[in-house]
Amino acid sequence: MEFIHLLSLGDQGWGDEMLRATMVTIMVSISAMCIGLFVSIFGTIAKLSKNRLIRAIGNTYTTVVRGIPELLVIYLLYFGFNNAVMSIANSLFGYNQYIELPVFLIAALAVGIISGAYSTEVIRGAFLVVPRGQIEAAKSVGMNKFLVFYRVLIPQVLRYALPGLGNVWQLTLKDTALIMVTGLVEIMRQAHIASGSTYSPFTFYMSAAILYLVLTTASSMALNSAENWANKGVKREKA
Amino acid sequence: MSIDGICISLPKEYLGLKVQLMCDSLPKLLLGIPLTIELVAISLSIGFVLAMCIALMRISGSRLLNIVSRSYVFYFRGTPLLVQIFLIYYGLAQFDLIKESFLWPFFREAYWCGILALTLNTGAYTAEIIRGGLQSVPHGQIESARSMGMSGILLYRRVILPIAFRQALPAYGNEMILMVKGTSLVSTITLMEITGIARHIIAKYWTPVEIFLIAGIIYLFINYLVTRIVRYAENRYTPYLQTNE
Amino acid sequence: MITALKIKNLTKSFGSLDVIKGISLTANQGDVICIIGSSGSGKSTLLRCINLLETPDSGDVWVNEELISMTKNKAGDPCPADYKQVDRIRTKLAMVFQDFNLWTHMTVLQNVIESPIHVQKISKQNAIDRGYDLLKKVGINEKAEQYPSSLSGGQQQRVAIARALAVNPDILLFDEPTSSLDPELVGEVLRVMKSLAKEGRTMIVVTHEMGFAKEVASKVVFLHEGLIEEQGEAKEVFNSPKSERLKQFLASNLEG
Repeated sequence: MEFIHLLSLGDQGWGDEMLRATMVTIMVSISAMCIGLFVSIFGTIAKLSKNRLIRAIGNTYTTVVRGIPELLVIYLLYFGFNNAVMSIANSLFGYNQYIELPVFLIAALAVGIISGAYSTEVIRGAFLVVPRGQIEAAKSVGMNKFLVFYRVLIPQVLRYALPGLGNVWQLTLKDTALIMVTGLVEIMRQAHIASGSTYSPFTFYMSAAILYLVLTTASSMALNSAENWANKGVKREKA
Repeated sequence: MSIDGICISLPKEYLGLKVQLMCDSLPKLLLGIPLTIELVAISLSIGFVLAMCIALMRISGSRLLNIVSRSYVFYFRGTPLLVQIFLIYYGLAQFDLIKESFLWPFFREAYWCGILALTLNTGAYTAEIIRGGLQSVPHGQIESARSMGMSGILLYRRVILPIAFRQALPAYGNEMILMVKGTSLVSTITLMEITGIARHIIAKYWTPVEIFLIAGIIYLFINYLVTRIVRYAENRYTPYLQTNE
Repeated sequence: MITALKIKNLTKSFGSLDVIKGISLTANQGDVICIIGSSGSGKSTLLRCINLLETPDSGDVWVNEELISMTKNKAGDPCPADYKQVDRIRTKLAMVFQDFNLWTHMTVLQNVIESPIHVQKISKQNAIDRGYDLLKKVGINEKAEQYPSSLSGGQQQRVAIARALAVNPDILLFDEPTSSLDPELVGEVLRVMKSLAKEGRTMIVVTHEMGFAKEVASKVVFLHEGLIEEQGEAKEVFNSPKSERLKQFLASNLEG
């Protein structure tokens, strides 16, 4: 039962390191999801815009980010952000030392931009499925555009979007495994380090897999109850 | 067993867009396409057969088969593909039992480990897609088939499966794109497909943004083709579900 | 007497399809006008043009002798000149839809008090009191806290009527209010509508219920291909139709 020793807490084992890395994974996922939701507001507005150019920008964003492997997007943004910041620092302030942005920030931004593309699709889809009659009924009792949007459209869009956003959260959680390539010590990187120094790769990658399973299962339970809460008005009639 | 190549450190100075280098590296990157497509094609085909079995186990009525099917899907959908790849390629080598067995020549090769991981992964997702398709078959259409004397395999072959596959087509199109993107992860276990070649070039010349950009465009193009093929199949087989827009 | 509603030379087309080809109509206070006609004759579109859910291509609409002012947008298409006026007038013109269109994320009571509170800025307590009164009137006050999806179609439509009444409208527009209902549920909705007619409310009703039209309407309008083919008092229209088309229509629609 060597793995118990390997996974124990404290100086001897890697248990506490793995748990700390799990916290990092959770923090990166939450930050990325929030960044993604923020981005998706603009993404949705752009994709539903009447202006052709703005719509093209929105479509390019979602098509490109969803059509390129996540690993490549993370590499590109990781190097791209650093390069951009350094060239800005150089041209504005003549600063030509090497700058490394905080790796957590870049990781959250990179995964957030991926997550945002998927959230955009979900929210746009939800806007389109709100029945027209719901909006007409609001207009027919004299609501202005703002009231229609705020009192009728938004609550329904959120309800329709919730299951989809739950899926995006699960995707985001799993995508954070890829940011191990940036050197940020989340679950995968920690498992990689530990298996390298103990020659027990199966033990640690299996622990990583179990940690991800715990995270995805816990979130899907939370999401289920959130959906039940949000669907309180639309439960099927008992025939 | 070192995979330090995965971790990246930054270049010492900012390198501008080097058009010449980008042009030179394009043919090299294009050489990665066959392997990428090979990985996708093999894992999708075996994965589909696997998925059919998993989906049938789920609706078989046997408690044991049902639990096996559920656990399989639960594990492979609940963990990142990267973990699955690492567990097979690096993880299994921990056990002497496997290292001494006849399976070792298989598990020693990154190529077979990559295919195995991708196949198992797509098998789980596709099983769920097939299950969703089966569930979406309207009950009335099954009943009307029964009322004409169809049952068992005939009922499945002529009515249920054709409807289910058509319903599942858009979701399966997405799964194909996910697999194209998923193959980029086997570059982390030394396979030289598009991303692997890109990393190889970058290790030499330190122009990550430029090279990854070109690699990204190649993936976009492949996925564009996949989308077109799925679109064609949808128009061909489900014209009644298509809108005119 | 004030004219409640006046429509003059209204036209509306969708693309190359002319749905309404010039209709004029007047409703006095207390009138119950039933609009009948086969499907595709433009009945619903006419109703939707009155409260500008569809923008008419040309023609004028007066509500309580106030003209809804129209203008043209940049593309040259007609549009309301003052959206505030439109919102205000819409509270005078509450509409009941064929598919109820209750807001699924709100309870029955919340559906009814939504517009009084947020559009008309009535105090919440007042709105709730009035809301309960209206729900009682349509006979559904016991379901106030439930969500629309747990109600039958007839109950949902009665809630929709209460929601329409809640803004204190001068005119009620009904767009085929019983067409989505199972036959056994039609009666309860028609009963509520009859009682409203008896109160002297001005109502414009697009309907296939000839029995209702015969009994309640002060005026029946028969539309055919976007034009008024025949109109008059219910009795004359039903008992001595003049046009050949109306005769055919009545022959195929009159129920025993």
